[in-house]
Amino acid sequence: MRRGKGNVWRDDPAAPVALVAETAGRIVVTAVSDAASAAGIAPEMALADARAVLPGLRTMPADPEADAALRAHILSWCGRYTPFAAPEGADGVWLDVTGCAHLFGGEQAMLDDLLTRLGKMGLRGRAALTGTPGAAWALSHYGEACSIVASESVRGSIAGLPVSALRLGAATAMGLTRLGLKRVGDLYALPRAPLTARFSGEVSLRLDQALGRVEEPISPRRPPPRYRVRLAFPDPIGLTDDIQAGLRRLLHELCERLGQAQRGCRQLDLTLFRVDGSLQTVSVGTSVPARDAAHLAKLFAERLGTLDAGFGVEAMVLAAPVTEPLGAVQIDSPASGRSKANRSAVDRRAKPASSSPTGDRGQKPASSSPTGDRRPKDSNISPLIDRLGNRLGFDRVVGLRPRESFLPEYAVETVPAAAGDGDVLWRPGPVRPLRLLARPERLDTLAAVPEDGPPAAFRWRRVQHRLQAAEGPERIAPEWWRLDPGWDGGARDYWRVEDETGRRFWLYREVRPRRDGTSRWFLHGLFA
Amino acid sequence: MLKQRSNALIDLRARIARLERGETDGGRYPSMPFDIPAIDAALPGGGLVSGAVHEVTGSAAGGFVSMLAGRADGPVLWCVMARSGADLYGPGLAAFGLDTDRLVIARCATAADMLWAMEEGLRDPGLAAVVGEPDRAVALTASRRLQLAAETGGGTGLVLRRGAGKGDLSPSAVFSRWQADSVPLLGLPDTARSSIGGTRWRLDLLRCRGGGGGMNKAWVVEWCDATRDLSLVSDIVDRPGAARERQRLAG
Repeated sequence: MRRGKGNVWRDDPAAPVALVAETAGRIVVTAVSDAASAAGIAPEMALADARAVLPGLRTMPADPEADAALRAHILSWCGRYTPFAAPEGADGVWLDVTGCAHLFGGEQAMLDDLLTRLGKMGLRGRAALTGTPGAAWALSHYGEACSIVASESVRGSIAGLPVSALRLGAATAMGLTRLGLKRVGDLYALPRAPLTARFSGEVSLRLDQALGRVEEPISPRRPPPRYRVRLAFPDPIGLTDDIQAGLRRLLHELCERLGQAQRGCRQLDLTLFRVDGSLQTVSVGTSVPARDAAHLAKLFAERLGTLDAGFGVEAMVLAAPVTEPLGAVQIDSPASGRSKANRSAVDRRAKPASSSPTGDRGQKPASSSPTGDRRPKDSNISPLIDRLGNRLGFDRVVGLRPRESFLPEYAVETVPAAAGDGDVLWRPGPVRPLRLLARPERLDTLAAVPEDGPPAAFRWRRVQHRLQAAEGPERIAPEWWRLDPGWDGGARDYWRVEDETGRRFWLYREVRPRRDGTSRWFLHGLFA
Repeated sequence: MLKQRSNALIDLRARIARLERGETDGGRYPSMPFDIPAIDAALPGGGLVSGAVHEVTGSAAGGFVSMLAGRADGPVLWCVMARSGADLYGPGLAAFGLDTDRLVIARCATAADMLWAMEEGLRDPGLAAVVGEPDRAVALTASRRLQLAAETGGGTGLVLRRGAGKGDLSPSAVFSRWQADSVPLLGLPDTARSSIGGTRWRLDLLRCRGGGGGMNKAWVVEWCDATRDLSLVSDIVDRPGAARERQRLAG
């Protein structure tokens, strides 16, 4: 078996650059470019010290999330060489290239190709390809930039490397060095027992791994989702009803497992493997973690119609890629008796952990009681929100929450319907309209408008309205920290007016007159 | 299996027969009283019946429906068309008593989505009220579906048809039909015009199942933002002079 290992970092050869991050109140260098490294700056050096060494050092804040995203991208990109790619440490990638090298014209050609392509992406890597992961790690970190070592010569090739090349902890490496064991080769001849007695097996394990005496498997990248169930059919199925039945079985199994783990899914992917080798995937989301099989089946029911079984489906996989903790309390849906049976099984298991009110459910139905009482306010509508969200889009099922602002259009925030609850307190103040126009609409004022009052009549959408009563003005000035072109006209005087039929409107006048001395009127809201 | 199905059929037929006779399912759901005896007396069950769909038209339908939804005790789903150009505004809804902590807004792209969302909402027993603002009249079959869904779920359905007048009322299976128009404040001296005060609506109960056939009931009510209170201003009984009075009110 042959394995390779690459080690990559961001590189900017032009100038000394260091990435810095703040840890425990001081700013520390986390990564350095070649030029900076040559000037003697190393990671974990305080920025003040680094600046003293090299005043011209350019710094950028470290962005661990971007680094992780880049590493994830490289991982999936490495799929071009082998399906077995796994992350290593913070900046490395394991590739198990067993049986892959010949596709690229040999091992050397493959490594060259890898490093060249990485170079084109602006990255520089070090790679080593050899028989064991341990040796590959040692060679890539402490050997040449690109080395290939045959399995039989591993022993000799890593003998000259420092002991820390064996992936030992800093303390262990230091301890070995103090004993005069500086090179890997120094350990070869030592008796194992005293070594283990002194260094708790770590040294001999790492040595054995490097030399291939102990197997060290590499698990592939992108581990399949933990909550994933599969159903294969002896004969391909094609009817929607059959798919639905299969889905129900899968959901039941998945929800059982989620229940045992006290988790709920936020997303579910159903994949159909068709006989011609193609895939069909349909996903549903939930606004809160859920594991009620009946509820989830309802969410899928809307979507199953879009699936095309083609010449038949030979297997189905249901996966929950996104799960969140879900105790026994939450799920309460107005679902069928079957789902209740499922749930109570789960709840019984989970009950000792939390004193949930689920036990009362049997006696007291969630719907309104026949005695005429109003329904309880805390009824759970998240299953409904899920169904609405999956058909209309979760961005279209919303709630309104107040926001600190004097500008009418900023005083309301649209939030996902599921997220908010609890107290909503609107700023007490002047009356606000029931509906706010997305954009204020320009009004034609018919008669001369008094300097400080509303117009006697206006025309809006080709209908003339004669004012009967008016209340105002309420002056609202733009907030200087918001750059909103809608408020370029400056402060506004708002009026609540009523026309001759009793309809009410929310008008405003731009306070600052225009060049010809007139000021414009707009309609901003309606009271019906 | 076959027997089960025929039982279900019999059940359904009985229910349809009851519906056609204009009965509800025996007062299974409570009603929301207006707390105004004159109006409550005209309504079966002494208030706006829950577990039923009510249609509201007229120039002040939005405010009236917000108030009704605000009186429902529990979560409210409000379905709007996504491209209506005028969004519901939280502080304004709160002024009519509908607090937004229990409001869910569904923005529907098509009329079909709207009806579907309303039906889903009405069937859910967790909701106290479902408001729908379709951009065209709800067809007879669709209204029947909504009414059945409301009977299943027990919430109050409110179909809001802004701007629609008496003229374009199509046949519908809704439980009651209302027209809510704004009423101008008249007879006030000019000095009082600097304040426009409470909101006045003229409510016409155009049709209501079990509410005394063909009776046309009308009231003028006033909503006070500050006290969140609805009070009766005048009681307009359908009599020969009513039309004149309406004219007078409309100015």
